[in-house]
Amino acid sequence: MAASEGPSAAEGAEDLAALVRRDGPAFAAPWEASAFALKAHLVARGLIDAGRFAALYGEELRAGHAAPEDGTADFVAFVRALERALAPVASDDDFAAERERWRQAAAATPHGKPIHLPPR
Amino acid sequence: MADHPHTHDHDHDHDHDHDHDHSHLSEMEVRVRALQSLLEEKGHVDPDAVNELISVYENEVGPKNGAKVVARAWTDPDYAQRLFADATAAIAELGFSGRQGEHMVAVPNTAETHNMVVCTLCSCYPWPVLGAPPVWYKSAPYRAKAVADPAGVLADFGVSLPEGTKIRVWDSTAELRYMVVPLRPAGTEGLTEDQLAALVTRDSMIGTGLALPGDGAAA
Repeated sequence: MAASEGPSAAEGAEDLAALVRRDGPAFAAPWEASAFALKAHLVARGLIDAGRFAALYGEELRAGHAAPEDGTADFVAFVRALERALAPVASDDDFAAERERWRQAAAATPHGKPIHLPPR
Repeated sequence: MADHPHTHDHDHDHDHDHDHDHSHLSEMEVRVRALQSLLEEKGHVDPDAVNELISVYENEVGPKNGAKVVARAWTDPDYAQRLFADATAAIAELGFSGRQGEHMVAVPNTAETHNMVVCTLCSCYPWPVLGAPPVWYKSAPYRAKAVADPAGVLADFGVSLPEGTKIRVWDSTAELRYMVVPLRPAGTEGLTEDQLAALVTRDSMIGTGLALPGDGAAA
């Protein structure tokens, strides 16, 4: 399993020189940095297992996700892997409900003000 | 760090071309906020610790910590010995720790051997010392080519080693992260530790580069 998750040598072995010239920041948007930090924290606290997360992340990368306007497809896969890794503590329905709370909070917040979730 | 706002207060770009006067979050911003707030509510994350981590990534991403470790190893042989014996503890001596609990290993470049770090499985990276990983480190071409053709990787980075130098590739895992201690550049005997640290690039600690030449330090 582990071996098949690595990239093959044939896959883009010629592309590295081009990639090196585009040595940009690792995070395309603050939400990517937040997701990365959240995962690090959850691993440190033992809530998710680093190896299990890596496997889920690999699955999501191979499944492929569309790139959002404000970020990269790889981090969409990362966030999905994080949601799946957290299944024992929160279901997809829980996350969907929480997302709706944030959408409503944003809609109720004047432009330029910090967005806070209202009490339940 | 203390003045960095809670991530929920993070400003975002707003489209001024339309007349909505309320805030807007992108779908991915909503997803990540939902993850964080739900876990906070359930008591699974420490909000202060997470926000501190986020500000590390947003504001302090850089290889400065690792460069200090290398400069100390260059100037203090006892520290170097401790670093190569137990890098996790030696790095902690300077106040840097891996909050993911990963074990650090420091591998010294020598005249005979050049070291290079990769993570073939995913993109494990010693972020507390090297900051945020560069895009290429996480790319399939780097992960594949570092194993299949490390000399070719060095060529891509414009690095040439003396003929006969062996290249050793270290594959990181979730539990074990490597950093390379590059060779100290010639002619740097008179430099202070801070001046030396300025010569230590991120790439030199991944092994896809060398430390900068000492004559650049005076600037």
